[in-house]
Amino acid sequence: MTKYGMVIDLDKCVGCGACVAACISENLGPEVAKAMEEGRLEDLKLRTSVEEIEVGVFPKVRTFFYHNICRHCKNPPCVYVCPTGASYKNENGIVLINKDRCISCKYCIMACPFDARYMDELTMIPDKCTFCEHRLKEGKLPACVEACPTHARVFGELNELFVRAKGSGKHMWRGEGFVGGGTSVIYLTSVPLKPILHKEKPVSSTLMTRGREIVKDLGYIGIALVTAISVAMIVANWASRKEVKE
Amino acid sequence: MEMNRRDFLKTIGIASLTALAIKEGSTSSLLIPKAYASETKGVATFVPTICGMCPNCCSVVARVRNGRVDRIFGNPYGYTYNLGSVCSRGEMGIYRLYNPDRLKYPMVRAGGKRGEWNFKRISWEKVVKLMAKHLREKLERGEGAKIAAIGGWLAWDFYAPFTLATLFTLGSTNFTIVPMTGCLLPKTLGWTLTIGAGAHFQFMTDYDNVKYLIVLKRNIGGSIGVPHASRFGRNLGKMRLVVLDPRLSETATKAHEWIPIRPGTDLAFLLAMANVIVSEGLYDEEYLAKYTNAPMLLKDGEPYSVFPDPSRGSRLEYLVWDLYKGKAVPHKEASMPALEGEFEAEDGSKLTTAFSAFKESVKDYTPEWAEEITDVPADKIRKIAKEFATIRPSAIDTGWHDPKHVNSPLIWRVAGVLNALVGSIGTKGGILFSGSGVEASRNVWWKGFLKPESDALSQWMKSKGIIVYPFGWAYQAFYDLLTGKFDYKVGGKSVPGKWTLIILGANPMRTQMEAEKWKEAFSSDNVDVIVDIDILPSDTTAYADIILPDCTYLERDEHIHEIEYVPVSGFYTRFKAVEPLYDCLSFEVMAIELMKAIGKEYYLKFFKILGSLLKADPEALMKGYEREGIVGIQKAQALSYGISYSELRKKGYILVKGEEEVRKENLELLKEGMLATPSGRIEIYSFLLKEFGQNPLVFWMPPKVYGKADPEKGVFYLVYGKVPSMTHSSTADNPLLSKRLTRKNYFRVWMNRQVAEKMGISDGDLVSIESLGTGKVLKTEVHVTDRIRPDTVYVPPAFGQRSELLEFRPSKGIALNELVPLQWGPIVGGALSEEVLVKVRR
Repeated sequence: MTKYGMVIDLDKCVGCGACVAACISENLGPEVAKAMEEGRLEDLKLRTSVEEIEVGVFPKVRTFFYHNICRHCKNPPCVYVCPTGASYKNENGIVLINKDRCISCKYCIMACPFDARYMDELTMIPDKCTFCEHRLKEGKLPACVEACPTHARVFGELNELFVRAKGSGKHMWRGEGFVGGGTSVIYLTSVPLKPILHKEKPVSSTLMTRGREIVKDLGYIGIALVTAISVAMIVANWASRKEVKE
Repeated sequence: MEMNRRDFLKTIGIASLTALAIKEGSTSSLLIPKAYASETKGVATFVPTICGMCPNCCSVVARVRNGRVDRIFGNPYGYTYNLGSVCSRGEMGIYRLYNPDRLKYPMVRAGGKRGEWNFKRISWEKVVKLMAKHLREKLERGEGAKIAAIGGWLAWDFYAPFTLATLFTLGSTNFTIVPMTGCLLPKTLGWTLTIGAGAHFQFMTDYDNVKYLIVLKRNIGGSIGVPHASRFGRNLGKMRLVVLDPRLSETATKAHEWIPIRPGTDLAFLLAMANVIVSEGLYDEEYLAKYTNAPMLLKDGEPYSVFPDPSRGSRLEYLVWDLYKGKAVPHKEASMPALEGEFEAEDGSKLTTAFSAFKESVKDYTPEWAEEITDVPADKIRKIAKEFATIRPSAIDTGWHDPKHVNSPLIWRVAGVLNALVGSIGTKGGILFSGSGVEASRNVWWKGFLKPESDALSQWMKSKGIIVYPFGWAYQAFYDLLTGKFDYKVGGKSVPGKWTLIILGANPMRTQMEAEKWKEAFSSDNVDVIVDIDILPSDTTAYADIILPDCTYLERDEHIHEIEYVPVSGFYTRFKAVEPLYDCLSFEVMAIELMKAIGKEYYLKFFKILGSLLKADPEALMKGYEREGIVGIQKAQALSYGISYSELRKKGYILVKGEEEVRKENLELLKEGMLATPSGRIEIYSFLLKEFGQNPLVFWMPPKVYGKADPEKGVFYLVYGKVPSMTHSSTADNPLLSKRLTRKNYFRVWMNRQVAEKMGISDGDLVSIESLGTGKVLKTEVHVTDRIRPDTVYVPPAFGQRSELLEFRPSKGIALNELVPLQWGPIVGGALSEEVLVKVRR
């Protein structure tokens, strides 16, 4: 099956937010309606966002518009920690959530090294970018890619993207040091990425070391309980669980 | 990275019909409806229309499901316009429509003073009758000249023929739109002096082919007008980009070279560039000799012989020295016009050329001279000038909004000259006239913008010594007019009566400089009635006596528009996506119904004027309207233009001339000498400047604030510039744009980090900012950053709405027009919106 991927060329992004807006109107209609009704628009969670990273000192200063979005990792930590199999990777390499199976344990949110998952407060089920899987099925590009006025986001077949990204001679980043096997989202810039991507959540704050926070939040009994339930569900779902394919 | 959407669609095998449509450049009529169909699943319909969130007029499609617009995206048929993209504002246009704060029915003042919200509902029928009675009586009393109108960009871009026809029918020219002297007029005039045109919609940099681009006083990326920005964006990385901006704008973040120039000194930079290019002989001699009036013969600094050329619509012809014939001949007859030299005419006169005079005029503007003024090292200016002249095709960008400094028109005049020096006007990779720009050039468009002597605005401009006062569009005049401080005369006699003011799709209380003054003007007893026509209750609405709710762009059919802004030509328009949510009417309908109510003769006169403005048969327009409303007008227009109405209905966008053809027309304009300048050629020597008694070449004029900032004392230059998601009134109350999609630093005043540290100010601190122009003190949060010059603060301009009725207005951000005083430029009356100093205190 075709594996999909996305290139985000930070040299092209002007930070206009068209991608974010497109994502909202394509995917978050009900959430927006609720947030408007309750006057809580500031709390509306987004599947993708753009943030400014400033590097350097005047006048030798640069700014990048850093995009956060689910990276659809090759070996997605969120899928591995999911106790119920609700988080899975489909045959196109897209990491998705089967919301019927989710128990809202938030493990996946904690496991994500990129802060790309969040709790959807409408359904109380984690949510994230789907690469607009529903649009791909109709032969259309993800909404954000279609909208981007400067063509900073490019979508396509992952290997092809990878080859062409490499050919561009720019610095590229696919999550090295954060997840094994890389990600399906490739960042490109003409300058070394380190100063930009150091804003990524450091590895130290992912699940491994967040254990302490979890313990603090839930207490040992809570942990034991969640673990017990999880184990039970894993066992229960083992037979029907889809294998995570490459 | 050499990749684009199209290639990937090809390679990944999900090439949909939409994708094919994009690939085909959108004219393949068979493919796209199927693409739409794939999305419909039987429940959605797709209505092509034009985005109404900013003045860039992108071609979009509204997806309607269950009677609601649930998505807006780029129109694949309109690919040649906005490349199928929309920006965040365009996407969020849905909430322009579904905004609960909207004006829902007509209202009249129920009591209280202007500025107080005290209105009662009235029916359309009654309000139209009421207004018709008022206007009829006014006309009968001979006070028609005191009917005035202030419009916003909406009124101009989309309603213009109807606005103009209304005012002309009532016998008044006393109208303006805020964006004239508040935005584009100084820039437009500057370009017009050199190349004959220069409004936003008349020309565009050829981003697809330019190799070296200098952008100044503009933020193409951050202000994100999609037709320009998407072409600029897809070629980022292929061109060398130099950006002059006191702030590292979104565009500057993409630049190879960011030049944090001292605010308002861009003119000195450009003059020094001209100096380098001329003194090092890096200019394009052939281009200058052929397409510009550089070879024009001068005697004692004056054109030697000038006469109208009937074959070029009476454009001015002049003599040049033909090296081949060895004598002075009209330019169009010369085979080898001499660019420089000293010649002797048959009558013994000593002659030289305009180019020699131009060289002389830039002689003293050395890079060293400019270094002092601009704070840019001379070496850097020299380097950029050389690169600009040698890495071709190169261009200085068209710019966009620039009423900022006293020298603004001169900046763009010189930008035009520099582009001509390297042969970049009308040529590949340079500055291209849009389809409508070509048309406008041939018709000498600006003559239609000159106001008659009876015009109040131009009279006021003349009284203030504004040089190009016949461009009577300065909104600033309304302060003196409405408060009775200016004696407005027609035929030598003061015009009796009070003012009736129509405000159409504008929010002058926030967009015209010095808010306090407008409070006074709109509350004045010299104003009889204020009619406010808008979609949301803006800060201005409370000053109205009559409020008429306009329909949003998704709820109305509109007359057919010409495609502008980009180098193609054709037609497009809006079709109603949903029925109006509330009891609102489109202004087009309002205007016609009002004329009908005033009297039959006005109704007939209105359609006659409308017909001439729309270049359509008045009778057919009227019959069409009576039969089918605005749709009938569309049909009558389509018939006059020879386009298929059903095709327009389906696609929303009909291309008549493609880019190739318009590029060819650009060259023809040059070759035939049919630009809209007085001579029809690019004017190194400006006949218009000479006409107005000014130096016809180029010269330096310092900004008023020059050298007055002193960060040590907390005094700064003020600069502003649009942020991508919050721009015009259309975004002021957009729930998602203001509450979720605008990053927090965009609500704050930006300040240099080192300066802030010295003053003990940290990021996010609340400071007071005092305008040394208006005296107003505002509190605001600070964004501490390295992205700005130490002597400058940046104020994002789209904020500071105070209307309590706007539930979703941003709670942070300040109003630029409370800091900038009411002032006007000496050349064409620009708002001088950066000619102000501010004092920042902890």
